[in-house]
Amino acid sequence: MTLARRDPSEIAQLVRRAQRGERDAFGELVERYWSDLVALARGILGGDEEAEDLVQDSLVHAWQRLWMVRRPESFPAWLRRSVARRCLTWARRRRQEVELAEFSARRPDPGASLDAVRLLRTLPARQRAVVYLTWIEGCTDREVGLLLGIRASTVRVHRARGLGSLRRLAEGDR
Amino acid sequence: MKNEKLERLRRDLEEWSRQESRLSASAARERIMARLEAGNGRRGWLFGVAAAVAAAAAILLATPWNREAQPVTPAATGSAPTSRLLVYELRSGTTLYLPLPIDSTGEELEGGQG
Repeated sequence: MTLARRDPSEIAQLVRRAQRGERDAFGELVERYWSDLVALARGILGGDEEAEDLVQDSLVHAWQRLWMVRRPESFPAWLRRSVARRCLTWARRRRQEVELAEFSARRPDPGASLDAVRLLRTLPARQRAVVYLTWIEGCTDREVGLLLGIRASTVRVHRARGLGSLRRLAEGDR
Repeated sequence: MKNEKLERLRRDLEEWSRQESRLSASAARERIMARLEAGNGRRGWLFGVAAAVAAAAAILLATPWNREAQPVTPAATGSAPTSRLLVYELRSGTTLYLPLPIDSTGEELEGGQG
């Protein structure tokens, strides 16, 4: 996961300062983790539109609940989990999946990555999140389970179903 | 053939995931700080509560609930000039005046404690 590449001691120091109420320290954390969190949100949501808004909401919420972070070193994982669950909850409520019939009837899009994103969006929210986190970000089943609050065995089931759907759709696209 | 399509899909999604966000990190920081300043950070209400508690505590501490009386003039109480009163002001607002007679030398008479 990309968030782990940063110096942990430096991050821990920023978190402690933020927990004491220093907004500048929290702002520094926002700036450091913004891109990674937006990428995570984008993958779970299957699009850009709401990703940045939801990440902003998550960060504001994180400021309110910084006191819950007992170990500053766990802040990155805590933040990532918060974003992932918020996006997953939002996606499941909004039912973002593109209708399969609509997708099948559409003409091929010259932008390959846009097609890939539309394929991803056909998956149910949880399958989409699992496929993105395991298949694209390379997270383990256990990591995904912790992120989304589900069992590792459930992660495997979702991944298998999600990849199976993507394979069938990709074949049928041609 | 099947794996090629899926692999291509994966590469496309990887490329897509690395795209820059529309809002830059510094701009995102400014927006979020602005929201916190505007009061989205709920820590503000904690300070309000703390201030209210401090004010209430100051009022309670300033309210005398037990103190010894100052010497009272005969005109005010009608009692002998050498008498002292113990004045108790209770939190309920009730004031108790307990006479504490003393002799002319200023010593308290036996059994005069209230």
